Amino acid sequence: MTISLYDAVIPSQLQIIAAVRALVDKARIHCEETGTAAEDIIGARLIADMQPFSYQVKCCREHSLGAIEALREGVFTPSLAAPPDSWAGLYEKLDEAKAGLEAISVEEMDGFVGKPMEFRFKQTVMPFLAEHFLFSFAQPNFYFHATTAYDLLRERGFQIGKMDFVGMPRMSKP
Amino acid sequence: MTFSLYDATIPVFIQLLESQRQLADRAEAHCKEHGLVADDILNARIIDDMEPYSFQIKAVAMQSMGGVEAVRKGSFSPDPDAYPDSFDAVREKLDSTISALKDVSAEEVNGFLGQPMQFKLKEMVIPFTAEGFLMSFSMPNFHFHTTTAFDILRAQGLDIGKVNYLGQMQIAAG
Repeated sequence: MTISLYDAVIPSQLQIIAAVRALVDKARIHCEETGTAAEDIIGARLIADMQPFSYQVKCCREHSLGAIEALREGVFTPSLAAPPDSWAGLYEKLDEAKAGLEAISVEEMDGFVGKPMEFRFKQTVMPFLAEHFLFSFAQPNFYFHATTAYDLLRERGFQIGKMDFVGMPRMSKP
Repeated sequence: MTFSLYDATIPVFIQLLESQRQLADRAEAHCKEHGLVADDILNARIIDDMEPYSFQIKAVAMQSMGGVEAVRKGSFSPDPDAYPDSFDAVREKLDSTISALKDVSAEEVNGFLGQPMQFKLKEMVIPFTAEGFLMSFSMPNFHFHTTTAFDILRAQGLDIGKVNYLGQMQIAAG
């Protein structure tokens, strides 16, 4: 038996994207209920020189669907576009990731195995095989930003726990 | 070209455990430089009711090698071990985990596929396949704790960035 690249990547990305979307829901509802301005949460940071919540959410899309798009093109370049500054903008990023990930086929993912690609940013060029790019660059980044989004809400006193981060794991049918 | 469950798990764990090992050294150096005692970092938290840095280190071991051991046994329960109480103990936890993971063979991990196992906590029993458990429970939790360890150090003012978090990626030979 073998595991496909699809099984090792796509279901977990969808799991965490759904969990982050639920965190955005909680953040939005919190603002509505407490009369907090949206930008107080969307712009919240763990420490002044770290990136805000909006950027963490943007990066969840960039390092999931964005990583697959990079494999299609053979090149990944970090996006310098400003992160969304509204709830609608955050939802749009996550929904775009979900729809894009759901549209990927097992065959397409399997076809990436062993393919060369490059990370390019300014003068930096790093060559990767597709699967190494996914597991040693994209996935750690993806989870890093999902976790940091959670940590900064938690730091602001949100009543959330680890299961809000993990979302729905893939249990066996009883 | 093929891709395996081993590729999706063991090198991923080792990469981030090794970067945590270096971050631990930097944390200790930070204490010396700023006249802090080790406990100032070991007990540092994102917020009062979250677990401290020392727990995050314990958890990265539990969610990596601990996940592999759980699959071997057929069940996973959060371990009741004490948190490492010194930087030497942090290093020992990380080093012993890295070394145990390096001893795990690809044949063994690939043989886990399809094997049933259970998550057990008090009255709760959740059934998983080995790969469902490793990819949808261990992996998100592992990254959660590596990131939260980093976020705690970052919030304590360590001069560290994403490159330090990612550590040595699997870059293709040039």
